[in-house]
Amino acid sequence: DIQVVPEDVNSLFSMLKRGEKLSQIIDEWINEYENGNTEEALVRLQQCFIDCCGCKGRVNSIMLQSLEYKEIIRRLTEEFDEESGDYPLIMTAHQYKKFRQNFADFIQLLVMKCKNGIIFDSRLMDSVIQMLTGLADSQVRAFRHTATFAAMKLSSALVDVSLDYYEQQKKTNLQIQTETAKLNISGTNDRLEYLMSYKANLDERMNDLCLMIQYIFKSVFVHRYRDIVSDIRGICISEIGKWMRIYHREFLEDSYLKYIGWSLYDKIPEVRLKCIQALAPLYEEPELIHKLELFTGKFKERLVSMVMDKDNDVAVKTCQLLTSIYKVFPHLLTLEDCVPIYETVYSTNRALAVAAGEFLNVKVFQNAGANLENRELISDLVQFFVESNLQNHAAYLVDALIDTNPMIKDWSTMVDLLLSNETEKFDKELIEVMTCAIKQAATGDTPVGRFHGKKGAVIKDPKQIYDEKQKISQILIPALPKLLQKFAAEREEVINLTTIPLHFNLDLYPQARLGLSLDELVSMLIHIVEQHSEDEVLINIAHVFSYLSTNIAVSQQIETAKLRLIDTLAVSMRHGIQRFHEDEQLLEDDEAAILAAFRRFAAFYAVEDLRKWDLWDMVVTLQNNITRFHDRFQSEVSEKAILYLFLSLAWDLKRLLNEQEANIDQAAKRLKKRRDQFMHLLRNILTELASGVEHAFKCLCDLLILFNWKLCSDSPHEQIKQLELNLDKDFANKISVFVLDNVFVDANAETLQNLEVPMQIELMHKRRNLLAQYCKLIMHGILPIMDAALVFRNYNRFFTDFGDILKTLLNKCRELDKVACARAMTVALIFIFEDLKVSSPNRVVDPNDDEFGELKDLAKRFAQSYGTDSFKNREAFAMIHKDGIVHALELQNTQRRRGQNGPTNLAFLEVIMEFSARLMQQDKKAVLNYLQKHTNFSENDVEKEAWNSYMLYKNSLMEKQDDIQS
Amino acid sequence: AASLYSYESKIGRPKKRRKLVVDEQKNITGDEMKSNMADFNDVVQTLDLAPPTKKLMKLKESGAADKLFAMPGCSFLQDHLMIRLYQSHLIPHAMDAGRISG
Repeated sequence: DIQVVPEDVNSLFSMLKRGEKLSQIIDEWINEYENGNTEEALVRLQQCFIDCCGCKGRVNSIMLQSLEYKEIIRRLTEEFDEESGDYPLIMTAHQYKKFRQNFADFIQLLVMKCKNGIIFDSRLMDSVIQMLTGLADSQVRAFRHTATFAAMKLSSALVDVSLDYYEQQKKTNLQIQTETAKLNISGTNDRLEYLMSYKANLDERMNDLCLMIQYIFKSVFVHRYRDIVSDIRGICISEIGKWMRIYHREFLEDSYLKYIGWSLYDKIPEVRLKCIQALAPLYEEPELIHKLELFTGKFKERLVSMVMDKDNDVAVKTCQLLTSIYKVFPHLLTLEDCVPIYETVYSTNRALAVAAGEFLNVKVFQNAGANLENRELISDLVQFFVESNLQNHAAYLVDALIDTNPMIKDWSTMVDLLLSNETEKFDKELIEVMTCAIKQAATGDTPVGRFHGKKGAVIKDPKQIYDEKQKISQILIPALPKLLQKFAAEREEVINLTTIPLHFNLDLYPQARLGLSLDELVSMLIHIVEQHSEDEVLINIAHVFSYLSTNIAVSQQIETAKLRLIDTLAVSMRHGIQRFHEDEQLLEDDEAAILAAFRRFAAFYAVEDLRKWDLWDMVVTLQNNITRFHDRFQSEVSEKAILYLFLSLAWDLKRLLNEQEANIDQAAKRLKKRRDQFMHLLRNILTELASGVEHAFKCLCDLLILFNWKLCSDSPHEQIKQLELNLDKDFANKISVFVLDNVFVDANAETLQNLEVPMQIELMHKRRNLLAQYCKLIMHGILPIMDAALVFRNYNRFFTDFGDILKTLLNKCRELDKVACARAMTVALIFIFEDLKVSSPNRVVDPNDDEFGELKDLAKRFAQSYGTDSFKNREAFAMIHKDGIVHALELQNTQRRRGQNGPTNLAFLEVIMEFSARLMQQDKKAVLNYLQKHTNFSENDVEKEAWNSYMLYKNSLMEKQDDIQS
Repeated sequence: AASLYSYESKIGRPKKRRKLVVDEQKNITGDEMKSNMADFNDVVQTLDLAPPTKKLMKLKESGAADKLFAMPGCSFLQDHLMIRLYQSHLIPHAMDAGRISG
C-alpha cells in the first residue's frame, strides 16, 4: 500500500529542490534506467513528480505496472494531508525560491540528455506523459498546477528536440541528394543505403515526437489554458508561445493562435501580459508574418483596446507590440485605431507615453534619425501637437519623445524654421516644443506628475547635461536675440523664449566672443520690459538678469544697462504715485500705468534687493488711500503695494541678519517701525476682507515665519532679537477665522459645483495653500497648538482634500507637545459633538447615529496616531480622559440645570472610550475614580440611552489591559 | 502521516498552513469565456491624462504637501537665499506659553 515516509535527502526531488549538479543527477539516473533497474528508475522519476506536487504519497513498481494511472492518482490524493494547501510551485519560503526554475531545468535537461535514446523506448515517455496527464486533470489544485507546469515544460523540451531532428532531416536529405547524384555516375553506393535507413529512423522519431507533442496539447493544454487558476492559464500561454516561435511549421496556425486570442480577454493582468509577451517575438520574424495576418486582423480591436489596459505593464507591452504590428502590416491600423495610441503620449505614465512615442516615431515621424529630413519631421511634430489638442503645452509630448527621437533636440533646425517664415502658422507651438525640450535637455528633469513606475526613473548624467547645455548655448546664444526681436509682441512666445537663457552656459559669452549677442539679448529684454506688463513675462526677465549676474564677466558687461533699466522703472513708479497723491482723481489710463510700473518694479524686487530705490512711505500712503482707485484696479494695485512692502521688509531683514547694515541698531529700529506699520495694514485688510485679502494673508504668514522665534538665535544683537513678532489674541483670532471661512468650504456648495473642472482644481490648490501656511504657523511657534483644534475638527470631513496636510500637522503637533496636542484633539472632538447636539432633536445626541459613529472613528484615529506605547503617552491620554469627563459631566457648567432632562453630554463618554485601551492599568483606575467621584447623579436621574454610554465607558475602564490587546 | 504533522503542529509552527485546495470546478465555463470577450470594460481604463494646461502642471508641482510646507506662501519670494532664510525659520517649535498678548 501507499506509505508516507519523511523526505529522503537522496530522492530526485530533494536534489532537484537544491538545484545543484542537476546534470550529474540526471546522468546517474539515466545510467540506472539504461543499465540497472529500469523499473526502479522509473519509480524514482515518477516519485519525483509526486513529490514536486507536495504530496507525501509513495508509488512503487508494482503499482506502476499493475494499476491504471487513474487509480494511482486516486490513492495519492487520499495521501494528501488536508492541512497542507501549500505546494512547492507556490511556496515562497527561501528554499523554494528557485524551485520553479529548477523544476523546468530538470525536465528540459532530462529530455535533452535522452533525446537520442530512451525517450523513444515506448516506456519512459508513455509512463511520464500518462502520469502528468492524469495529475493535470485532478481536482486537487497542487496536482493540477504542478503537473500542467511539468507537462508544458516537457512539451517545450520535446519541441526543442523536434527542431533538432528537423535540422538533421534536412541535412540527411541533402546528403542523400548528393549521394544519389554520385550513384548516377558510379553505380553502387553503400553510403546511400546507410543514409536511407538513417533517414527512415529519423522520420520515425520525428513522427513519435509529433505524436507526443500533440497528445500533450490535446490532453493537457486544451483544458488547462482555461483553468480557474490564473497561473495555470499563464503557464499554458507562455509555453504555446514558445512552440509557435520554435516549431512554427506546426504551431503557428490560426487553429492555435486563437487560444492566445481568446486569452487576451482574461480578467487577470498576468495572463494578458503573458499573451502579449508570447505574441511579441512572432512579429519580429519576417518569414512568419504571413501566418499572422488573419489572427492580427481578427484580434486587432482587442489589441488596440489593451493600450488602455488597467495594468501598466500590459498597456506598455501592448503599445510596443502594436508598433511591431504596424511595421509589418502598415495598412492594418486605421486612423480610428491609432488615435488612442497617439493620445497616450500625454499619459501620466512615462513608460506608456514613451511606448506611444515610439509608435509615433514609426507611424507619424517616419524618417526619424536622418538629419536632413528633420525640417519636415519637426513640422509634422508641431502639427501633431496642434491637432491632438489635448494639452496646451508640450512638456509631456516632448518627454515622451526626447529619449527616442533626435529631432526633439535639433535646435538649429528649429531656430531656422522659426526665423524663416515656413511654419508661420505654428510658430507659437514650435516655440513651446523647443522651450520644453531645451528645459528637459538642460536639466534632465522630466515634467512633474509623470510617474515612472519601478524601472522607468530617468538617471541624470552630469556630463550629458553639460554637453546638452553646451549645444543649446552654442546655437541659441546668437539666435535668441533674433527670435526675441521677431516675436517681441507675442505674449506666450515671449514667456517661453525668456526661459531659455537660464539654461545657457554663461562662460561661453566671454570664451566664444559672443559679447555682441549678449548686448543684443539685454537690449531686447529691456525692450520687452517696456512693452509688456504681465507678471509672467516680467518675472522671467528679472530671473534672466539675476542669472546673468552670476557670471562675473557677463555681469560686468550688462551692469550699466541693468541699473539704468531699474532706475527707469523706479522713476516711473515714483512719478505715478506722486501723480496719484497730487491729483484728486486719476484717469483710468494713469491708474493702469501705475499698476504696470508696480508690476515691473516688483518683478525685479522679487529677485534682487533694490534698497537704493526706497519708496516705502509713498507706497504705504497709496495703500491707505487704495479706495480712491477705480474698482477694476483696486485689488491688483493693492496686491502689488502689499507685495512691495512685504518684499521690502524681507530684504531689510535679510540685510540685517547678514550684517550688511552699517548701523544695526538704527536699521533694526527702522525695520521694526515699518514691520508694525505693515502689520497694521494687514490687520485692516483681514478685518475688512478688502480686495487682495488672500494675497495679503499669504504675505502675512510668510512674514510671521521670517520674524518668528528663530530670530533670537539668528543674531546676537538685542535690537534684532526684538524684531520677533508676537500676535495679539485678536489678530490671531482673525487669522483663524479667515482660514476656517476660506479653507473648509463645503465641496457640494453650488458655487463650486458650477465651476469648470480646471477652475475647481485651481481653487482647491488655493485652499490647500492657505491651510498649509496656517498649519505652519502652529508648527513653528506663532500660534498655540490648541489652535490646531480648529483644523482637527475638520479632519474626517476634509480628509480627501487635505489629508496629507492634516496628517503632517497632527504628527508635528504630537511630536512637539503630546499633552497640548491631546488637548487640541479633545477640543476638536467636543466641537464636533456640540455641532451634532445642535442638529439633533431635543439637542440630545443619539449614539446610534451615523455621524456619531464618524466622531468615534475620528477619536479612534487620534488614539492610533499616538502609537502603542502607553507609558510614553500616559500624560496625554490622562488629559484626554479628564477633559472628556469634564465635558461629558458638564463639570465646568456651574449653572447647569438638572432634574428635567439630566445631563445631556453623557454620550461623549463613548467618544473618549476610544482612548481607554491606551491607558495603563493604574491610570485606568485613576480615571475611573475621577469619573465616579464627579458623578453626582444616579441611574434613575438619567435617560436609559445616556446611562448606557456611561456604563460602556465605565466598563472600558474596568477591562484588563491584556483583554483588550488580545 | 497524521502523526508526523500533528507532531509538527504541536511544536508550534508560527505559520498557519493552508488547507488542501480541491477545485470542484476546474475550468472557466464557456459562458464566462464568452462574456469576458463580449465585455472587457472592467480591464481597460480611460486615458490618465497628465495636467492639460501649464497652470495645472505648475500647481501640481507646487501643490504637494511637502512643497507647501517647505516653500513660502507668497509666490514672489523667489530669491534662493531669501528662501533659504525663510526655511531656516521652519524649525518645529511649540508656541511659548502666554506669548499671545491681549
